Amino acid sequence: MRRADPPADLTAELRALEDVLANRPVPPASDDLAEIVAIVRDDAPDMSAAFRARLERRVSERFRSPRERRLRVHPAVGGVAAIVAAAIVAVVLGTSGGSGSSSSSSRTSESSARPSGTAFSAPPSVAGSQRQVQRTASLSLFTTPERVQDVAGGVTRVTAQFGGIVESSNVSVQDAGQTAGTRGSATFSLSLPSSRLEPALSALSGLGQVRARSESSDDITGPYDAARDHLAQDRAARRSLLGQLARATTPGALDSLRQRLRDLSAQISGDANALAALRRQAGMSLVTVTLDSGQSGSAGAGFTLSQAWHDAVHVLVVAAGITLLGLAALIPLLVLGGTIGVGLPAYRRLRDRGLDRP
Amino acid sequence: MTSTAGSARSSSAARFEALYRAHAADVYAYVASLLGDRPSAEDVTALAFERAYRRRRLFSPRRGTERAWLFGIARNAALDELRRRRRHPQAPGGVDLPEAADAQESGPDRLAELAFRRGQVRAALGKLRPREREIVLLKFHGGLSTAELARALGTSQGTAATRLYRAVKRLREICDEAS
Repeated sequence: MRRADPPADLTAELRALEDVLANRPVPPASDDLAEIVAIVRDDAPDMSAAFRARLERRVSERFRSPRERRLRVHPAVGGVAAIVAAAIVAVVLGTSGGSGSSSSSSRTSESSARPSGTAFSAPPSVAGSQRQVQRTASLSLFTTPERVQDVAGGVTRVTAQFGGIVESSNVSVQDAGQTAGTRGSATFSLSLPSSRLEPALSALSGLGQVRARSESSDDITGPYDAARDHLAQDRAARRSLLGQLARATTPGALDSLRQRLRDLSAQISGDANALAALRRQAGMSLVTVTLDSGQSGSAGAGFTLSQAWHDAVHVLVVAAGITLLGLAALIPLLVLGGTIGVGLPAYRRLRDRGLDRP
Repeated sequence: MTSTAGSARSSSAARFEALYRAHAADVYAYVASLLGDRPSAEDVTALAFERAYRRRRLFSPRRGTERAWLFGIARNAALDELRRRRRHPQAPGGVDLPEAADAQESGPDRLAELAFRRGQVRAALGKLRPREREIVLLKFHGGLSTAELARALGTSQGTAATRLYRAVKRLREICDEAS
């Protein structure tokens, strides 16, 4: 539907009205308009003196209610209160940060039951003992098929160089014919001194192209200290039993004490073996080295159509995810904007209905 | 710009007081003419200025003058009162209008003629539709420009101009018919 054109004299009439309101001269045709405007403005009621006084007082008091006036706080007091409140919050937050406990992954030690009836005094654990950490590492190397044997030999050589042991190894070179080429792989399990782990890993990394490298550590100080304490207590118990044996007079007491000594000796042997194992764990690091090669003729990176396909799918999935996240953030905003855009005019129309006659 | 918060607050309050003194009479005249009831006009005028004080920091010069902003607040407060009356009808109180000069006491025919003319205009204003009367009062008492009228009414400038033109034209026609 075409909107109706504004009346031709609209501009002239409104200009005349503006002139009247601004007390500017108007043409004779607008004299009645000037008279009407003057009457309407003059006819308007004035504020009563009482109302004017009330309103001026409210304006000077910044429209504060009586309750607000009673509760009025000096700005300086309010500022000090705010600073004190902030300081209290800061202290509470600072002291509730926790005990700052170590995040080490040491296993908890469990003390086994002591032999009953044994009267001895066990030496206390050494306070502040050195941390015992078991370290492991893995290294993934890539090389050409022709160099697999050389690299495998290099791994053995480096291990021996740093005082380590090749616990196990598996080297494989496959010749798939003229069309498919040669492919090789190898796997090694090494034990290397923990004190020389880093330089050993650097030397191993130099043998080929590093695809992946990871290291982890496990704090075994707890079990180590527990095993050492158990051993010390058992030895102290044995010394006590030996003293009792020297003072024993009856055959029955002698037999009993000898039996208890045999049991305790076996226990001491077990404790010593456990402690030695933990000492080895801390002293030697377990390293896994894997070696892989592409097919003959393919250059070092080994990029294939299959890899390209997977990468492309991955890119599309990521892009779809980003789009979805953007929509998730945008839709509520659009709904809110739409609600405001529809609600405000509707509220305005509702308000204007007050002008309509009931 | 003053540097301290306290100075800024007192400056803002001082500006509001100046706004109040400049426009209070016209705002009251508009509200009273629209509501036709002095007690309601006083309440609405006070409410309008209180709202304006609390929202004074929301005023933006880019959207119009302070006067237009103030009259917009007053208009909305008056419409809220009218809506409240529709929900809870009450006997309207009269507005004490300036008494027409007694022709016999004052003597000259001119005064009688003026009083008669005033009565005609008053009656013509009463014959306008509520929305026509409202825009006439807003223009005559508020002196708002067409753009400011449009913003206050929530319409386009063209619509506001057309509505004002038609309301004033009808007012003039009714006055002409009466005379």
